[in-house]
Amino acid sequence: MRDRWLKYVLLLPAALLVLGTAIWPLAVSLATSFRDWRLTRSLTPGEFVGLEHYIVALTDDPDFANALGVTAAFVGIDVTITVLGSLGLALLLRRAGVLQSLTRAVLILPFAVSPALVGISFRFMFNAEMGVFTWLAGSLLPWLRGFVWLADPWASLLVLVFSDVWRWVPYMTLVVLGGLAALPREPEEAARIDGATEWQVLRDVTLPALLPVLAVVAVLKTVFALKMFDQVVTLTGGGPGNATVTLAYLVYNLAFRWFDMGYASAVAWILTAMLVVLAVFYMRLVLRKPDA
Amino acid sequence: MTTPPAMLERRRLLAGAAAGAAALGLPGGARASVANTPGLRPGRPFAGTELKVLCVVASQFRAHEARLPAFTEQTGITARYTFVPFVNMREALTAEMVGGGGDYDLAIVMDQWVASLANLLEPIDARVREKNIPLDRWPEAHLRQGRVNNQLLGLPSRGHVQLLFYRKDLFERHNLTPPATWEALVETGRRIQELEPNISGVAVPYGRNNGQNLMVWYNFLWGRGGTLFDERGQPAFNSQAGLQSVQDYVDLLRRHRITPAGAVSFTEQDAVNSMGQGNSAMLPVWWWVRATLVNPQASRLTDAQIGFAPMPSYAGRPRTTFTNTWIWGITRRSRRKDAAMELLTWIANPALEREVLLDPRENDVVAVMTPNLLDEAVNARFGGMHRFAAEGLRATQSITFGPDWPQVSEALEIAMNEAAAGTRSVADAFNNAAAQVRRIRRRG
Repeated sequence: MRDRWLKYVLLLPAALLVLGTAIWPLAVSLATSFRDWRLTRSLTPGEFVGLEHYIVALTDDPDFANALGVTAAFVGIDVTITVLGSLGLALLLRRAGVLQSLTRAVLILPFAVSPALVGISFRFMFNAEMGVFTWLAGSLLPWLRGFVWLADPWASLLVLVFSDVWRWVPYMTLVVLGGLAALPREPEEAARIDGATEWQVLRDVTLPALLPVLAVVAVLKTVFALKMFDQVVTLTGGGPGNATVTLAYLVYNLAFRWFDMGYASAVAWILTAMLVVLAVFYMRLVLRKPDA
Repeated sequence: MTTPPAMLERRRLLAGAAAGAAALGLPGGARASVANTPGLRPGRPFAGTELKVLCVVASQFRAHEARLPAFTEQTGITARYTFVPFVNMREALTAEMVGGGGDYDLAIVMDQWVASLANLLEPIDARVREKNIPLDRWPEAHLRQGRVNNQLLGLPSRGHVQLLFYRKDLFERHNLTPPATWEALVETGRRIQELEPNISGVAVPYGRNNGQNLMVWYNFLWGRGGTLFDERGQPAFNSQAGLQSVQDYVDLLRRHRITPAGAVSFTEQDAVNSMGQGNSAMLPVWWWVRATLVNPQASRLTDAQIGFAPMPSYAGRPRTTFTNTWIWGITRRSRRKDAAMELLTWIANPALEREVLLDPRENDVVAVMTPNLLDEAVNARFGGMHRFAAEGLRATQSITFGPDWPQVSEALEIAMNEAAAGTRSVADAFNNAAAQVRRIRRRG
């Protein structure tokens, strides 16, 4: 009898912690999303409005539609470049050697930098007057001389992607390297003995075996890209115009600049729903039993 | 015979200065000072109380904090300042309003946030009357930012006006005079770029960041006779005068090309850096920027290279300035409101502001009280900057910041950025902003 209850007692502190710091705030924000609550009018939530906020967001809010489009474009470009970049780097670093080992150790450094700081640094580096990237791009590609990166809608989105890729690719490279290390070498060697070129080995042997790892990288990166916030604040400020306003940034604006807590909660929950779907997909990938 | 409005304004200003000067004097001829504050309750009834103060990071308030022992000596009250950087200040105030259990007794709030944070602050009309604090001590342009729905929520303590900074050395070398009109600014900018090919005429921010790309434009708008809103509170910034003012403003960048090319994405700090690094010859900006421009760690310029003048206007129109005002208010949830009012009274003493302005260890120009703006010693120290400020404050218009202002400002900021970048025409961008603002106001 004592053993039967002990496991629950031992779990209780952790369960209470999760309840207090995650479940409870989430439940409160879900309840808030069904209420009209402007902090400018009242310090407590107002009348119950049902699904009105969700309906307005999905049918009658150009800001939400814009943020959804920006987020989709950002996620698509960001995840594609991150997956391909980390795969390429991992293949380059796969071989043993002093230089490779050193590079692998250094790879983790960009990930250790705060994303807000990354944004500020990139803002300086793309400064039209004194930015090193602006100068470099103008030197290598003369038609880009004088180009103001952060004033063009697509260029500023690409700069935002670049800043995120710079931070994430090295980390994801380590993940892919781990996947590559776990692959048996025999099939690749057998293919080479059979006369396959390096490209054929990569395309027909390595990549199919690595697909589950790449899928995990893609899903994980999608989850993080959907939450893009810090660099938007410090690098583009959502501009030019509203070309880089992501969903997470919109939620921040709604809640903490415009004080519309009810509507902000609804938009946050739409974003959360997307993340939950991806998280379930991710868990299925990770926990999937190998084929018999 | 009728008195011209400008003369009435001047009289009102002088009357305010006289009232403020009188407030500096104490009965019996003793002069008010940081250590001798009129209005404090006699007998130190709140001795032993500790106040908590939520304050934005600013050298002016560090200077106040350093002088707190004088306040404690007069009242027996101690105060603990918590300094929050500007970028986090609104979140800190919001958190205090929503979840604070009276953590802070006194808080400082920027004008644009006052209406939306009105639930944070206690009306202080009666307390100010009881303390006999003369409200004409402050220019109306600053004082009105502390009022919401005819209730006074706070007293101005930090306030900014705009000035046109210019490279005095370049202007002297080429026999140029600081432009008094926008037309002259364009001409002067062009001339400088001809004479100094590596220097842009004027640094102006057109990028997005807390409405910074609107702050110089307001002067264009008022100069053209436009307003942001009509009497019903509906958008008027897309009137013919409004659209022309935007066109004039973005023409500095797009047509006259007298700004740095990167100005289209500049924040205010980028514009300041551009002048500080010697890349631009003029800079219309807040007066406090002087401290940055003469700071060797942030700028290549020296004090002798920097001149300043009132903001230009259109020919025949009065000089104006957009203002930025911070007000001190007592929090609604404070459990020590009477003691907090003692501290507010001490802070509102013109002698404190004057002492900080004249302290040779300090370099902050900020002043909000008329007697100090017109003070001879203060003007002597800062080259007459404060007299220019008083002049701008006298004639300026101001914006009533309603609770939806942050959202409205964002719509305008986006429109300005789009017009400057050329992704939309001026009319298209501002008509779209007007539609957005109407939608915001409809939602209430």
